[in-house]
Amino acid sequence: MRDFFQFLVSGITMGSVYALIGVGVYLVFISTRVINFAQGALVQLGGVMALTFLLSWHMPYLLVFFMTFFVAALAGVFFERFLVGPSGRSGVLSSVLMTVGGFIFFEQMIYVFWTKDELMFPPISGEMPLNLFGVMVIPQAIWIVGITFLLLLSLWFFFSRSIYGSAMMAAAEKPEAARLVGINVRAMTSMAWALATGIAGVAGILIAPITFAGGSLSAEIGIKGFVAVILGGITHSMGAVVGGILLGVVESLTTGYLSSGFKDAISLALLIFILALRPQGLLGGGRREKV
Amino acid sequence: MEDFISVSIFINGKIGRGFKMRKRLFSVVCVLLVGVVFGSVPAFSGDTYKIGTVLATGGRFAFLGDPEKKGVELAVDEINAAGGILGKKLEIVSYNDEGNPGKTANLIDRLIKKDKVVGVIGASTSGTIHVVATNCEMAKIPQFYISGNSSICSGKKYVFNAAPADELDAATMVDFLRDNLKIEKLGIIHDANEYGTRSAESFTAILKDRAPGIKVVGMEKYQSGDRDMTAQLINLKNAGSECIVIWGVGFAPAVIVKNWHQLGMKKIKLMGGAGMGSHKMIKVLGPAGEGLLFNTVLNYGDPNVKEKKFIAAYQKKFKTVPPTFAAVGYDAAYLLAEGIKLCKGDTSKLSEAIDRISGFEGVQGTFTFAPDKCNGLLPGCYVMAVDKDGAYYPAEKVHPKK
Repeated sequence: MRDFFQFLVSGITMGSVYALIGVGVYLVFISTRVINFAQGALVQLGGVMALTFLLSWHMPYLLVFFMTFFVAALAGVFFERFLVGPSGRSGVLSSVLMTVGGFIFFEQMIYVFWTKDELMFPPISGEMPLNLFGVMVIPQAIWIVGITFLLLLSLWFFFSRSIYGSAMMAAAEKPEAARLVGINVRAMTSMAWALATGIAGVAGILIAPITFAGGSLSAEIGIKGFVAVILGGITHSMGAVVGGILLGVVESLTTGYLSSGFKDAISLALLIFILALRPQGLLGGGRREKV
Repeated sequence: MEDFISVSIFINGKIGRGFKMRKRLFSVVCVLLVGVVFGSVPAFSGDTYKIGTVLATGGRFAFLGDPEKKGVELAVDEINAAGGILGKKLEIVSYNDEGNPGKTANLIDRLIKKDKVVGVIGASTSGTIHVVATNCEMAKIPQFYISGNSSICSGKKYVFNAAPADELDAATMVDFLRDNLKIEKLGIIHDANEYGTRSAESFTAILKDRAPGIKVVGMEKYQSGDRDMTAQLINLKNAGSECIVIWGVGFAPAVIVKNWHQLGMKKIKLMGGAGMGSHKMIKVLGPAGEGLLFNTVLNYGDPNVKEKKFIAAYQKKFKTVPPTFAAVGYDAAYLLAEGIKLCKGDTSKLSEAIDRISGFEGVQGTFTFAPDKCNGLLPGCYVMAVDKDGAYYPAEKVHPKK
């Protein structure tokens, strides 16, 4: 039984990593209807960038979070302004393809300016795991879960209570109508990208102590984040978390009780199964059209 | 040849009508002549011996290809500084295949047909080595590859291995498990890729042969991109393993070591094969790596004169401790040079000459090749232990032969 809980805890740890990546995908999607395939590379870029701030520039940890958020957000705004946005004039598909190009670009940036190796990233509060009745919980997992929930809570608050949040949703839903009522759609789109890529940067800091910083894993973690958000429902604010944790736990239990060889097969079979039964994801509801 | 040139210029002058036409024809003939003069010259009669490398110096296998290429460079620098071979310098032509067999196919073609190298060092991964081997065998150009996979060169006349074969690696580890650790129950965790699976299989076979008293109680695998190995480690622990052996390369073994530390499993010994001998990886592990055992061809903890010289020279040139892969590249270049010396510069007989290399002292140990022995390195591996600062010392110090 103790093993089961240990598998569960490791599953939740990896799951929260997937969730954090998925949140960025969700954010870009609900505010611009674009699936951002560059997310995985942006997350890893955030990780190596933060490592430079932390180890070479000797910034305190908290400042590193803000700096990484800021720089990643800036990169996101430029990326959207000059590449994704203009290509979107010929339809959302071009924008999506542009994000695939962005993935390659950001990944190569890591290779050129940083390294091709994986780098160890110091965790927020030590390496030593907490022993809960024989189940080992690494402190970084608690930080990730905690910060992800805090992040989602504030995002939910932002979108449902603040005027900017509503404006952003409106700009995504009906750009022409939003423009008519005086919303600056360009600014809202930029803001959504800034938020999403900024969160990707912070996600990079949080997950790097577990996944290592560096570019070689960008594609894998990007896909896992994408699968997480599709599983949970891309239109629901909690979709990424539910999908991510489900994915992580299924992977961990499969590895523990069957074999790691089946891990990806079973988790992706789960994706196919859920998409067949509920195309909108576990939490995603039907979209209501308001007039 | 000179007569031929003047004759063709004369003919050209005769048949050319109009200045422009004549000029164009003249240049065409000149180009053709240059082609004839230089194209027909065999590669070994220049003033250098060209050797080619196809290694994964970029991409996700850069941790292999990068030090391998640096090892080759260091060796070639040393050889040239000492006056070259038979009065000629060595020249390297290097290509990066990123561990991608498609790229390898193009690059090896270029090395053989365009650069006309006399020998090839590479590639870095099982998949790419097969591609290079097929091409070198067809072009009759000797190749030194870098892999524990000893079977790639068997039955091939022009393909040799400069790295320690897995069997060698495994034998040292098995002896250590039997004589020093004296364990009875062993767990194995390996990468699900070709290298990991094959190595784990040959290791189990050697274990059965050399130490029938040790039972394999658990066998787990992982994917190279996995970043959590707790489930596999717990299963191996529950199976009663007294020691866990890792077969894998790259950073996934670092995750295993980290999880082993985090789960508080240090009572169970953890031992890696030669693929783990990356100083960079062990350094980043920090205190988590304390107590880790790994097998290596370079005796870092207690180096002999040759190893000391190599480690110092590498550190001076590249500012980092050489991983074992660097030593393989270094030895491969020296072996090619030795071969050229033995065939007295007639590089069409280079592969026969390499077959005659016997008792050659490389930095990894002694090499002896023969027509039916393409894995030349003779036994001589060491088990190292890691301390809390990431430094190594011979594991015998803490686990003496009882």
